[in-house]
Amino acid sequence: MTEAQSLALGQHYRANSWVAFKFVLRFLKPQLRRLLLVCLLDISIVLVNLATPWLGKQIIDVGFANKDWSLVLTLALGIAGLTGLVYGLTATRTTLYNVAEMLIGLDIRRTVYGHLQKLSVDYVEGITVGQAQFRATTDADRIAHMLVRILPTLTMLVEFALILAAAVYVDPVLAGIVLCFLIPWTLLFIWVTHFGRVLDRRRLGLCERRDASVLQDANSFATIKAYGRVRAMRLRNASLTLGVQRVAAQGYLILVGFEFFTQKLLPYVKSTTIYVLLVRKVIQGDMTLGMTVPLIAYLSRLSFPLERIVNFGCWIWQTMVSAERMMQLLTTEPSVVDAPNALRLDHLEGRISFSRVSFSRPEVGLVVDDVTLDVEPGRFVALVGPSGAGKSTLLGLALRFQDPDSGLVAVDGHDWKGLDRTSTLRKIGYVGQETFLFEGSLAHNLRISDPEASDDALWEVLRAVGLDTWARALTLELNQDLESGHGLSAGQRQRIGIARALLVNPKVLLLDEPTSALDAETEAQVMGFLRDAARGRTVLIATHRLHTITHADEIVVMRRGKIVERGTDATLRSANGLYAELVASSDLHQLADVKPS
Amino acid sequence: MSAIPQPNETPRGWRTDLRDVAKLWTYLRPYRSRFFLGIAMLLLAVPLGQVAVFLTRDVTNQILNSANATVEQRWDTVVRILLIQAGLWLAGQLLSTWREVLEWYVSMRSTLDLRLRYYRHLLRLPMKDLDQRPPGEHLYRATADMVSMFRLGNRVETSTPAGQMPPDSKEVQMTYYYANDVDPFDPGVMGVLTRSAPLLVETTYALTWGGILLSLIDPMLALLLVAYIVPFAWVSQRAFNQVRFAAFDFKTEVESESAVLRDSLAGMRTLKALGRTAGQRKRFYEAAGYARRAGIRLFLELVKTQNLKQQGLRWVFTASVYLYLAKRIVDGYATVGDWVATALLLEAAQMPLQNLVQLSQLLKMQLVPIRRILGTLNLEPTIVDQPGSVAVGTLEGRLTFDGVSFEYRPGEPVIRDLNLELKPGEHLGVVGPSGAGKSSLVSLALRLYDPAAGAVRVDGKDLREVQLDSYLNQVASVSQLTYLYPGTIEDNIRFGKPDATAEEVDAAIQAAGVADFLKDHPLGLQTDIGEVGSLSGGERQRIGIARALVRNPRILFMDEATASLDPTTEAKILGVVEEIRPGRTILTIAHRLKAVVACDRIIVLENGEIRQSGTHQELVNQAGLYRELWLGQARETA
Repeated sequence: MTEAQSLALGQHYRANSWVAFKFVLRFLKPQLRRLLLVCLLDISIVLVNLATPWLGKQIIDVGFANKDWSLVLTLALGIAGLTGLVYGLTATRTTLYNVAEMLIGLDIRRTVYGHLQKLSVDYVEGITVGQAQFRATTDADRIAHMLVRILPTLTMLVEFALILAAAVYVDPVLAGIVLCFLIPWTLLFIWVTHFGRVLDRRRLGLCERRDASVLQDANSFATIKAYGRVRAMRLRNASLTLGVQRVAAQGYLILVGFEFFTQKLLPYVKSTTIYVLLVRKVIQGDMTLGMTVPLIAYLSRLSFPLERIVNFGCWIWQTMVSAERMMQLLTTEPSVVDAPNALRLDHLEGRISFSRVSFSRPEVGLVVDDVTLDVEPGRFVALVGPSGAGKSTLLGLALRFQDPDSGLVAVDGHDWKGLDRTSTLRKIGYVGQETFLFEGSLAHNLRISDPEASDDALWEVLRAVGLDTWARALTLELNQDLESGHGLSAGQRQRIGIARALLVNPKVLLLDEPTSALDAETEAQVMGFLRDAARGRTVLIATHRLHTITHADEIVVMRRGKIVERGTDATLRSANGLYAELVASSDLHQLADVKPS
Repeated sequence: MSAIPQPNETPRGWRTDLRDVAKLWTYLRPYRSRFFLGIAMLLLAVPLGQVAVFLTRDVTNQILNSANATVEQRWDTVVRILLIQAGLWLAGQLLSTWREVLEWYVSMRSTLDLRLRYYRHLLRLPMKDLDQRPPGEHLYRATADMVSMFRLGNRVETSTPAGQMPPDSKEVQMTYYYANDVDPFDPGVMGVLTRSAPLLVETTYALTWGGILLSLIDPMLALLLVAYIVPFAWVSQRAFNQVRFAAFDFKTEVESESAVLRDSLAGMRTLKALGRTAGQRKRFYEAAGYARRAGIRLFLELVKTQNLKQQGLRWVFTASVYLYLAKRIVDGYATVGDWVATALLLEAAQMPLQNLVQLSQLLKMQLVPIRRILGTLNLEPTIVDQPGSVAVGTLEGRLTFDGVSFEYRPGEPVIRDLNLELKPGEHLGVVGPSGAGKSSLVSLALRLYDPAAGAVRVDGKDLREVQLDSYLNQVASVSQLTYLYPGTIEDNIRFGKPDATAEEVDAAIQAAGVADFLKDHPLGLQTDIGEVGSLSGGERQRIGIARALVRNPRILFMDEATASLDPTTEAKILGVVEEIRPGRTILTIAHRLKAVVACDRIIVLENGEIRQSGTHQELVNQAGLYRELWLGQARETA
């Protein structure tokens, strides 16, 4: 499945459950041995549990009847020993089981993460970061939990056979009666699971809406207050909260009823039935009192494995949605992959060329339309044009975020598709509209581009963007935690972004609207640093702030994916084309002249 | 999620904690009759169940009583006892189920009250308190904090739709949900009262009854029970502290894992552009590994506590009870019926014992969120209508800053003793360097904050003495970034005036130029914001302006409304402002002078003070900051 197909299907993707199940089974393999050991332990626990009650029977029938203290003592110590053995086996089994679940979860997480990174930025942003995160965590855990249970649940069948054999050996009629009680239990259970699922989906949907509205409100407190909409927002929240509560209440009441029947009434009726029949038999002398010990022990355990199997069946059913989504993600082929014998360039001249490049996006159509452009080493080239002209997409192609539909994007004359991505990109600097700050210190944020960089190198790039005095004033200097940029101004963030890009001393700087989020004053400052940084490097900048690029060696004017004009500021101004039009609307003097004084 | 409680977050005295819990009682008060009824039912239900169990002794003794009665006589007696037992049992179960529903109802309703109250309070808080925390934290507090942090094992099983909760390792699952923290049936923060109080009663009461019934069989058994409970409680308490630390470790690791994950997904564009995905992948693999390892440590801790320490103690206790009884039976001082009844009573005592240990854990866990919720509730909403405040009539549009001083942080004044008057219908431009206090003027005029000294007046009335909504309904503001709510474009415009007529909306979108770009969308006003992908900055701002215009405001604030737009769009929007100008007072804040050259008057603000004032022409011809800015910006454009 290609990325475009997978994105287009989105949440409508459906796979055959069995296929999806088999698909996720691959994650079970590495833990197979550990889980088989769990199964073995489970069976030994059952066997010990089957033996213990016989000792109890002997105590009552022989020991108490004959008042034989030494026999009673021996048997009681035997019971204690066996019980201790079961405790030990259970502890081992539980540990192994949980370790296996954790490791499967880890394996799935890593696989999902690795795959997400291979997919294009467009894909990850397309399914939204939140969804991607959900796959790598919640879905991973759910699937791990399902997988780890498969083998122990199958072992339950063996356990059931063993206990059934023992129970039938002791009393076939009673065993039959106990099994009959499983029928209403199973029916109720399946019904409640189904019902719970429906309710749960509704509740989750409502919860999402409630949480989304809280987050919106929290993001727009100032707007809400400025527009006097506090009351309306509060009422909206209240109605959403009540909605969630109503569904939760329905679910709860159904559950209470269900539990009363399955966990209280049914088991009680069952055990009373057994109890009455046993009492009758003992009174009539058909059975010794001691015999009731193993009988009750077996009968009470008989339905247990089957209950768990049914329970697991229902759980698998619920996990299938996660499995399907996982399969959708992991079978989506990355759109951009390195060629098998990708070329590593040791040195970059800094030439970027586009020849007859076209690129389209689903649902939008052609974004870049037959563009040919050659940026020679050391040149400063600006891409301008109205919003949606395809400037940013063109830069994205130069960074190989995507491959073009047709045409050729080349670095130093080599087709991008034949180059090794990582090593090439490390020689290119990129600054976007907003600089993303990672959790961690200033140094960590700069070293994103070059983890090996020395402190001196960091100070040097900070000086280049005029942040050295600011950084020296921080309590921990380079090690100051930036708290993901909380509290930094847009200008500071952009300058950190530029410093980060400069750290690798790139031959090429690709700048995507680097000042559009800044005010005029900060913009002038940032542009100053960028112009200094541009010396000796190839620069390709996309911007709509025309006054920032008047000095460019070449200005390329784009509209609707096509290049419509190119030249210098002076030639384009006199050409009276789109550029002149754009300049006119931004020109200060003209507006001032209009104003009568 | 920096708001996640740490195990040792500000250790405080139990008195303060007790006072916190007492404050929660306010929310329980309306439901107190149900609350106490529940406890009363508990007092009845516990002995019913235990006596029913105890009667088994007589059944067994009757069975063995072969000496003095015929088979039929014995059978009759047994059936009679069995019927009594069944009746007692059924009554006990019905009572306790009913009680559970009551408890759930009380905690659900009181938590709901608390939740709504909290939200209402949050929205009424002044901006000063709100902008101190990142938005996510508000979400976290408004939702997650309301559900309790730790639940009791037995609740976990019953509180999740059957089949969802894997039956294996219940405790582990409990901690797992603790880390991921979503559960609709959770007793919630109020559980500290609604759950803990009945639990405390149930536990002590059940153990007392168990002790009494055991001593009826043999006083020695009751003594053994006490000898068991004390070390059990002590060992469990200590062991659970270890578990708690392991659980916090696990949670911290899971959090840093998801922080790395979030970072690498949201920052993917950067990582890919820099060719540094591999490094971040390694970080995630490590973080995920650490988290799983912490998870395994937690399991081991749980296994140690439950399977080794608690079960070990139980093992010693059970063995000694049975050996003692066996000796008594062999010696002829006890019956086999005593043996059976003891076994059943001990079985019944297990649950309250577990609860006893977890009760104190529950309390400890819940105190942290309670503290934080109360912390927010204790903040005073200072910007509220004063008693006796009056509604402003139709505004004339005069806005006065009368000796206003203002600061966000004490000692860092943003506006200093500023006097300024906007006459009705005047268009005032405000320029000045970053941090000059320009935006604060608008915030003060919208009463997002109150001034530290002086007064902001509208039509001569102090803003603090008018009904805020009556004033806000006649003004509108557009900021640098328009916040768009999910929904249609029309919804977003109607945010300004929910009861606007279709004509009003239409007029607003025409004036703001929204109509121009709506042509590209087949659904027009009904276009869903979420589905059009990304609206451009200009489109968003135009929607923001339409939102403001639909209110037909007497006063309009434009706070850098065009700063992020491309020149063509900016020129268009400035044209719109010119068009709608008649009859309105407008305050425009700008960095780029282009946005203010057409104003009636321009003031230059620096360090919170007015430096210059006049028309564009006057200011250009004066030496001063404005002229400098003008020449600087003109040079750039030239």
